[in-house]
Amino acid sequence: MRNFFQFIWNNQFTFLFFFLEFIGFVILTTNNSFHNSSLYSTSISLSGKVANINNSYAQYIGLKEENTLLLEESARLKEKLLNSSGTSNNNVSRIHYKTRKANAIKSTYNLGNNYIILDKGSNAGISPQQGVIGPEGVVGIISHCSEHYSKVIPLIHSQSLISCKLSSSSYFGILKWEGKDAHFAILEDIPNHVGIQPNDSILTRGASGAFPPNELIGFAVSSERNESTGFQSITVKLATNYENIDNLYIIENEEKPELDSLIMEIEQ
Amino acid sequence: MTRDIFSYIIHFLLLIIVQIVLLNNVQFSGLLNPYLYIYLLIILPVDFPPNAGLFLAFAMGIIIDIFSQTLGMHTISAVFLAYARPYILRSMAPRDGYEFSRNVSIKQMGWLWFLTFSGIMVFLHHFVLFFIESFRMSGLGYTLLKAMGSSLLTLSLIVVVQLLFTRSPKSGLGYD
Repeated sequence: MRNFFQFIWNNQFTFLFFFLEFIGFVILTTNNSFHNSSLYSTSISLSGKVANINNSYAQYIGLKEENTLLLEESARLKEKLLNSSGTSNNNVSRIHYKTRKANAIKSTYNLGNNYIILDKGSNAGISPQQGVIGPEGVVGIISHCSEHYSKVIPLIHSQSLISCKLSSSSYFGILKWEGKDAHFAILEDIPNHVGIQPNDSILTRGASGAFPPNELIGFAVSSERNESTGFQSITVKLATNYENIDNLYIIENEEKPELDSLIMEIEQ
Repeated sequence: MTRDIFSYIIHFLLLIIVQIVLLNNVQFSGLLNPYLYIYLLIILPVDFPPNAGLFLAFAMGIIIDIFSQTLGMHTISAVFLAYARPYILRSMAPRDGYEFSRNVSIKQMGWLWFLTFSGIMVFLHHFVLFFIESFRMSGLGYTLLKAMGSSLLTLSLIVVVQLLFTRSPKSGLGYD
């Protein structure tokens, strides 16, 4: 036993190294599975506060560009409004979606697992699993909230899985991100025989209730058929430009709890 | 000695602030992220106690982690760097040994030695960092490329900081 302690004492540098690395790995892994640990939410609100100060300066610089995007969006909304007034009420969804506006105060696009921090949190009625949409298209899903800030898992995150469909044929698949280019993602599980035209738009399916159906995700660029599985994987150019994220809308589906409990019941 | 400790504390705080407020927002084309905060681990004196170096790296890593939402990653890579430092120093020792109690700097050690030493240190840290970040998804080649690109950027920042902020080596001439 004494020899054992003597051994540790003689190699204290190495043992201290392993001890500190062990703590590092514990921090790393716990925060990947138990996201709600207190350290993590302190981390969100601390980095939120720093990012808030940074952002207040950056906002002035991006003002002009932001303005044109907003104008574009309002034009599109106007168009939608005009088109829908002519059609019959049967097509209009019964589900009511609430939208809230928030600003991204920090966003990354070059990491393996990217994230966006919003300047509103649970105090403003935001909660995890709500969808986030930008002026250009779908952005991601809320993953955690502290009181005044919340964190978004964008489409460009290794664990992001969004169910979406093709506008031309209503076949549906799962959108994944490969972790390299923030402009492109991969749509999988579409059968080989479905013909893909370049620039076909990829829309949300509304399956999980986080997003309304038919929200723009991106455009098909090319497809690669896999003869052995019978499914093709489609490269999708994402509509949202993650290098320039500011104004976002958070979508709350008032009937999502009801939908979730029904799905839980079926799966059990 | 007290003045030295005071100067390290100032370095510690300044580097962390610069990293969080400025450099964390630098994202060139998705490949280049400078991590200047390890500058402190490079310029420590040659005979700085290794155990204290580990604790210093741990503290620095965890603070950077908390403020940049990457819990664990910087802690692991900085501690690894502090562990490797004495071994790198030993392998690069001049024939008649180091003059102790001196900061590592261009003026003390010369351009070639300093660039080699900080190059190895920076690349080691960046490689471990990007490897842990990409762990389960992308290939080793991409991680290497990312580590090399960012290392070059960090290294040039280190040289700039060295040239701008180190005083002429008065202490070496015995004026202090």
